[in-house]
Amino acid sequence: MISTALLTISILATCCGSDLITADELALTDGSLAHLQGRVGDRIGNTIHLDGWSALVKVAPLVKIPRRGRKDRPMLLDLWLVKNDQGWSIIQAVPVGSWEQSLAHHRSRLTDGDLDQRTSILRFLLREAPDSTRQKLWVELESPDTDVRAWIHLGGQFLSGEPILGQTIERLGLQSLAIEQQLFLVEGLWLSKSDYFQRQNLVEVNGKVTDSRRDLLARSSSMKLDKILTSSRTNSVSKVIRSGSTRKSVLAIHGNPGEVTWVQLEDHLVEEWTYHDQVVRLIDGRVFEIDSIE
Amino acid sequence: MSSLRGHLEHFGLQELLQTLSHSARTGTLQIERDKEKVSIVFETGHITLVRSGSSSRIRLRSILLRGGVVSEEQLLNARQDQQQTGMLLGRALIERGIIDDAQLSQALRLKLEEELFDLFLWESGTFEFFPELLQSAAEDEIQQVTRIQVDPMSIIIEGLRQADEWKLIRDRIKDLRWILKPVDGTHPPAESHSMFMSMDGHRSIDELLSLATSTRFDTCSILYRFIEEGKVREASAGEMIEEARSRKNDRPASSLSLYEALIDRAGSSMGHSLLEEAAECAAHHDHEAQARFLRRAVEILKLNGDGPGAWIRLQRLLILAPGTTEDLQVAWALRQYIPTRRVHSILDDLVRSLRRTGEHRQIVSLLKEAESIRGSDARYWLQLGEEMQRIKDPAAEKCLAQAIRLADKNSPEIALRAERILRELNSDLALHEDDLEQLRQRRNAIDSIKKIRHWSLIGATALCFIICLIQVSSEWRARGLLSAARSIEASTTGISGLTSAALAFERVANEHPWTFAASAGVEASARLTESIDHRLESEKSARSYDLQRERDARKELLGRARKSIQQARDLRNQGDVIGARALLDQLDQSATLVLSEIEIKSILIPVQIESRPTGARVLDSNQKVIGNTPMIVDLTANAESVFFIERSGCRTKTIRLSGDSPPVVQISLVRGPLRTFTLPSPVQNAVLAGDFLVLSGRDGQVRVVDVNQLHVIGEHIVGIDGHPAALLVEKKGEVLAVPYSGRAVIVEPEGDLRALGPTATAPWTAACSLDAGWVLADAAGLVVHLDSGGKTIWEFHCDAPVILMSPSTSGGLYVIDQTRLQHEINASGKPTGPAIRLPGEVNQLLPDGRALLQDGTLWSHRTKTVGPAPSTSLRHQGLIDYYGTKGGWATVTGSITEEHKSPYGAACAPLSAAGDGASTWVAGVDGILRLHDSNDEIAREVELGAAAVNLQRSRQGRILVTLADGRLCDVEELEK
Repeated sequence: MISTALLTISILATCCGSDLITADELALTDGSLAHLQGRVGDRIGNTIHLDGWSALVKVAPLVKIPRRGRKDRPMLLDLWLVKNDQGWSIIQAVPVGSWEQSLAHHRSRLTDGDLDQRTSILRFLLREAPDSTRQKLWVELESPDTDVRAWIHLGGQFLSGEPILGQTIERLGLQSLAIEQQLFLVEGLWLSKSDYFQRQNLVEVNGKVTDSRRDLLARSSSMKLDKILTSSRTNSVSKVIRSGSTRKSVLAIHGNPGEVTWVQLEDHLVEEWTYHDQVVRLIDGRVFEIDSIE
Repeated sequence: MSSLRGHLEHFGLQELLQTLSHSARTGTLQIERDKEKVSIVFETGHITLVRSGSSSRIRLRSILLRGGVVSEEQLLNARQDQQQTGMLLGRALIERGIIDDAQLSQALRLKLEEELFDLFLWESGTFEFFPELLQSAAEDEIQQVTRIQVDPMSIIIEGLRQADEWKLIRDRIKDLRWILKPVDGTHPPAESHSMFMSMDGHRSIDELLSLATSTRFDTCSILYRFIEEGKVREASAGEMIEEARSRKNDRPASSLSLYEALIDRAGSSMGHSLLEEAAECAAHHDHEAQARFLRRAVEILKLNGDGPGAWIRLQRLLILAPGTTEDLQVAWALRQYIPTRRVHSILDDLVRSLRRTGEHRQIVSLLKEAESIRGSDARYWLQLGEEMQRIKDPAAEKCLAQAIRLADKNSPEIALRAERILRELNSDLALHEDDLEQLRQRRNAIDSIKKIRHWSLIGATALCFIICLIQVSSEWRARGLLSAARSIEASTTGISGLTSAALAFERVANEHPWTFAASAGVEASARLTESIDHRLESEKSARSYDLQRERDARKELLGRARKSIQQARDLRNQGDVIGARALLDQLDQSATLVLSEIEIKSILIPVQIESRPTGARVLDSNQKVIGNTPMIVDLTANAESVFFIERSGCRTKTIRLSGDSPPVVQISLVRGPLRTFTLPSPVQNAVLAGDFLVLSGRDGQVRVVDVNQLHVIGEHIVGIDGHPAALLVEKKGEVLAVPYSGRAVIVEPEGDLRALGPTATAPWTAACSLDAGWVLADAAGLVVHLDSGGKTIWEFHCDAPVILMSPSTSGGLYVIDQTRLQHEINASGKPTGPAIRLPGEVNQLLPDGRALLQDGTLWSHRTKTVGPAPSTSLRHQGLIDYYGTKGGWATVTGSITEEHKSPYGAACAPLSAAGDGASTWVAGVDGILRLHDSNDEIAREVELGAAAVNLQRSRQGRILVTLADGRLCDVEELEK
């Protein structure tokens, strides 16, 4: 079986050519054979996730994927993939000799190809670079041949909140470009969109940005509306807050909450009152849930 | 039932086999010699099975190995099967397919023949034939014993031949335990080479036989030949001893075997030391082996005339094998070397042993031999008489008569018993009835004495028991008291506690004097008393020492206190009040105690009086000016002094100071507001609508305050208690209150509320007014424009929650969402262009669309002005925008941002003063409202007492200040 696979590789490589590309460029590949470098994630049955490629790829029978330690980052692999009706399949996987060789190879390709291809290579290099060298690499990748927008965008994606990102943007006067690429300046640091959203408790749902706490409150409460209504209707006269306590009791014991949000579910008002150490949820003015904040 | 029995000496094995074979007998022939027993099974005159003790020597495995039928490894595997299943070895080999039935039968035949040949060497022994008793036939069936048939006649010839040759061999090889050694210089013969080589000079003949692969007879024949040919010799006694010694530690069994061989051969000439060595070696073995050796040793020592030595070993033998008749007889023979008391017990044991076997004649002869040691004992004569009577010896009468004679007054029962036997033997010799009666009376008297003794013993025992019981009880209680006393001692360290413990120990001794606990109590009491005395002595000396130390400490403290007072005085003179007070505060209670009353009274405590504004006059209680602030006044410790602080244009204040007052007292002479009104709850938002101030707080209520009367004229529930306060927007005297949830309402100051617009589907986050109505925005990104009647004019949707709105100068609207996108919407609700992303967090929007960012940048997509970062909201007044900063406030005029410094910062958006607008009201974070003139100098100050949240100017020329604590202050803008 293995020999058949190797034979297939050699035939296809001879016929179709086999430039070494990155996993991020797979989407741009037209041929049915790809020789690329990338990292794989957890294996699910005979499929596996390939970083930089949105769909799962298959693993051909008898192909062994080099394993890693439980806490280690997966190894960077040299992969041969074949495309068939069911998508891409890995037919050979061997560990890459060294990151430096890989970096040198793909950097040399940054002067060729179209914009998408160069952007894909940039993304691959920044993602796969060791943490200790990523910042330096990003700064070095800025050159006349580089698409500055893509470079800034990827910088924001991989170096969000890092001082080097802000310093470089300031030095090159690229603030407007950074804002255009959906980077956000917060307290002197440039954050990616996802980091900014996380900081602002925002979440994007179906193209609309909403408060993540409201979204979560709406989803969690709608699933168990009957249960929380029953819980809130418990009569409770106590010196501590529990299910059934009224707003008045909560205010008497804890005072005004730090933050309040609410959602309307059917004809019920579901509120979430956030204190420094706990979250109190009410429906129609009565407590149904109390969570402590770790 | 046996049918044939006899001795081999009279009827040899040859005749036996011939007879049973010729008569075609079926049964089992058992032959016994010493402790060896052999069973031969006959079936219709043929021998089918032999079971013997020698079978342990002649094993099937060696026959099979010898024949080359099996290998050692195969035998080992078969042995494992044998151990697991319990089957016999031959059957296990067949099951494994190593041998077949024929090979097994052949091997068994050889084994049987060897065993029978051995029997021909037996010259003595007994035999018995059981016609029907086949040896464990059923058991054999279960174990699948393979039976063969051998004609006895074929055995007889070979057996007789071997027996003859054995006689020759035995002449040369007398003892199989002996070691054979090759003669020096002898070359190994070609024939029987392996046998010769196995003789290493250390192996005994028995060991050679076990190694040999040939039969015992053949092996012994070879050895015989080697000896005859002078190739091999028997080891000398010395060599045997040396070998026995070398094996002693590693192989004590074989060592003992060598010693036994030596003893057997040396007999009585055996050395004493060698016997000791052998004894030591025998001690490692089982009792039987030790007993065997000891018997042999006793025999030798006895022959050597070493009676005491023989007795010593005999003693050990009697411990190992007590009650053996033979051993006891040997002991009796050695009685002259045995202590008399032991001789008596040996005699009794021997008599008992012989009586068990019914050897009464031997008992009689034994007792006769014992006359010399027991002749004076009536019991002896009775015993002898009884035994003689059993063997019908006429001398019994004499013995019994002697017993009666010797039975003194103390043993009438012997006399009576002897008389009874004697009467049975010969009534003429019976005692006279009177004598008999006397004997009976004597026996009764002795019995009575015995009973009395018996009961006395019981009584004494009971008495002892009761005494013991009382003593134990007393001891138990005493121990309880003792442990209580110990716990008192353990739980205390004070003298009084120890005294209590000592008394408790004494109590133990007093209440339970005859107990062990009492003696312990006495000891403990004495120890404690001594300890208490010692401690009392120590405490006494310690007290005097402490007294001296206390004096020294007091002296030192006094010196330190005086030094501190002087240092404080110096610091005060240098103007360092805080330092001086710190020193004086360090004078603790103990320091003041050592000072004299005059000294304490002379301590002056400095207090610095400061005022805001400074330069106020300080007057004492007599209205006499003593200086201007800031100044230092000196106070005595416990007296209170009154001072008056006054300054032109300010309030006059009276203060009472004492030694407990803080080092620096700050007095504010700033005037307060004209009026103050306290609202029921804190305020977050406030707008002025004509003569009414509309306020909202987190209690969900909107309150309307008449600014002229300064009291609440209306309270309306608009939102939910605990939710953020309702947003307030004013337009042309109308106020729109937008709660966090629910519907917005128009607050009509002198009327009720009027609901406006839709019910919130997400929290309302922003609101503003346009020329034609109101605009509301929520956290779902909805922007809705309502007319004055609440009808929706248009809606606009952002993709993120709206955080800020502001009307534009073109009649449209600026909207900013949480992703920093700024949307410009025209009056029709349509976006004027693409949304612009702001470069930072926005604070407020200016009417021209510029955004004031949190970092102070005034930003539009065309211009960017850097100013101070805002700390408050923005107030738009005329052409100028005002906002507070941490270091003062800032004004924005067109594109110019000007920063004004104030050390008190700004708590809310500043308010331009009435008039030329050059002056500004700024509410500082210190709770004082200040009017700054055009040079930013403070022109007026009004003390509010808390941070302001809002400044409004009423139509009556008053500044309305809303405070965070819920108070509302009314300040006159123009000072009268």
